[in-house]
Amino acid sequence: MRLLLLCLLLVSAAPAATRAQDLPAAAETEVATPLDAGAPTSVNAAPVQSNGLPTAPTPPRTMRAYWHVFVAFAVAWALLFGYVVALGRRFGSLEREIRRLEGTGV
Amino acid sequence: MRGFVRQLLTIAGKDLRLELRSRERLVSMMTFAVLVAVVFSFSLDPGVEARTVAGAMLWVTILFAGMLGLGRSFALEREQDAMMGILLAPLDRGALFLGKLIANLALLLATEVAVFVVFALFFQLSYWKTLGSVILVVVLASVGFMILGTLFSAMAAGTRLGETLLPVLILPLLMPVVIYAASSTQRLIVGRPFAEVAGSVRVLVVFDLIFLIVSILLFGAVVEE
Amino acid sequence: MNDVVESQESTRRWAVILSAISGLSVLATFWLIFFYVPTEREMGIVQRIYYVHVPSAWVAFLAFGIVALCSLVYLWIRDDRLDAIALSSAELGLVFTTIVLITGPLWGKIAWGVWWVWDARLSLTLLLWFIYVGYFMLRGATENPERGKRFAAILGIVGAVDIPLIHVSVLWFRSQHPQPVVLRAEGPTADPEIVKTLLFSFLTFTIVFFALLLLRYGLERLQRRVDAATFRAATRSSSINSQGAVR
Repeated sequence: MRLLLLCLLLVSAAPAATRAQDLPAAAETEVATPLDAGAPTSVNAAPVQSNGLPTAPTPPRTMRAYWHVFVAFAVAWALLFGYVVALGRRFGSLEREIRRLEGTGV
Repeated sequence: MRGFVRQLLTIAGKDLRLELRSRERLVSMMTFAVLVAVVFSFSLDPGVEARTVAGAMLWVTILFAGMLGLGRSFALEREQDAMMGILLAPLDRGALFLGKLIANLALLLATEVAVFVVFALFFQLSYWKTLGSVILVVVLASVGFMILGTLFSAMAAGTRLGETLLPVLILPLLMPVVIYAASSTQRLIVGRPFAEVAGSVRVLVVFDLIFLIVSILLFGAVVEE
Repeated sequence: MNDVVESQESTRRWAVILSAISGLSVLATFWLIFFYVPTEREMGIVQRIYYVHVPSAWVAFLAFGIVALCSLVYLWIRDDRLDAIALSSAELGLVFTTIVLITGPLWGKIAWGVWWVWDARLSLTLLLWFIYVGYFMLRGATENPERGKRFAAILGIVGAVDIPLIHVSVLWFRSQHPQPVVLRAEGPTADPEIVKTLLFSFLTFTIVFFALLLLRYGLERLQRRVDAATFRAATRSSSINSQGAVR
């Protein structure tokens, strides 16, 4: 039952992909230009204080962003789902073990 | 209190006397440190001015040399099961920890002297102008390093993996020490005033005090049984 | 023996109830994330990663807090159940920290243009992940189980004391992570829909965490009982024949 629910959830991650399809293909042009995010880190330049976000002038609205959202959600839920499955399997093997032990009369 | 100090000195003295006789840890730490300096001088691009990255190089060397020494810190106790003997002695657990800490610290400081001299020779560094501040920073950072190092080497010695486990356990925990020690050492080497690293020194003091208390309290749980 | 079975039963009952609630809550969160909340104006679609990323980070730190608390009390009263909770919580913490570390760069690549920067919060989370990994390596490498529990508890406590220090130092080192948009003194700056969704997904992740924690805890307790029974069976049959029932 639990597994079924989680399966459903995993499938429901799909909207990210379907939404991505709505986007005009023209948006699929260039990826974000690398920002100067590294910030100068040479030590003798004294404390580096780059506070706040680097200000991206225009947010990149490309297909790539949709892909990243999709992958992020898929990976996150796959990890949780996989964890639940692993728990279930361990429960199963423990129950077998218990039955075996009961056979020996402990 | 008197008894506590005497116990502590006994343990530290025992370790240092053993070390003076065999010199195995000190020799391996120093040789390793010098070799790391050699490796750095060969792997550093000639275009890079060593002075600008000296803090990082020094602390990488010190960390790994120190880790090498820590790996053997409880080795004798483990191999001969001498730990049982020490634990059977009427000895405060805190004193045991502090004694071990002092012995480890002495070894590390001796190695650090060699490290700083060798780096000065190899990379044309000079510490004279800010010698006092450099010593202060290095000692404080080494104390922090060895507090966690002693606690965790006692634990690592009780596992199957032994000293292999040690770096994995303590490197993440030592990040504050690394950050403050490397950056302030770097600044002092390039001749910045002490005022600029005073904040780092304060954090290092806080780190040392917190973990000194925590470790003394927890050490009993490491060695019980 | 009877109340062991009873507590097992109640653990299971609560686990089922919590799982059902968390399932529904997750569904609602999905609806909120994909159909309710508007796309953030400045950052675009990638901002939706927040709704997984930020709550996971919260849960990861919550898990570590639980590990530390249970470890501390475990060293005090040596109750095996506390160790089981600490272990379960650490395992979940590892899972959620992994989620944070995977979703973060996916967002950063779009928003910052790079996968990884040595920013304060990123560094802190990465170090937290390493501490969790060390926790399990320490447990796995200790042959004597009682000793393993003690060592793990010590690492849990030292780690928890260290986390604020690491936080201070990496913050001082450098920071370019976006500042909190919901929990701040002057009130939230983000759109009310975004705030609502984010808060709801905080709630969801917390419920999911506790549901999983309960499941994992039940499993751990069962495992330990089976191990003890196996041990008893082995020692008894080893007196009969040396083959024994050792797994």
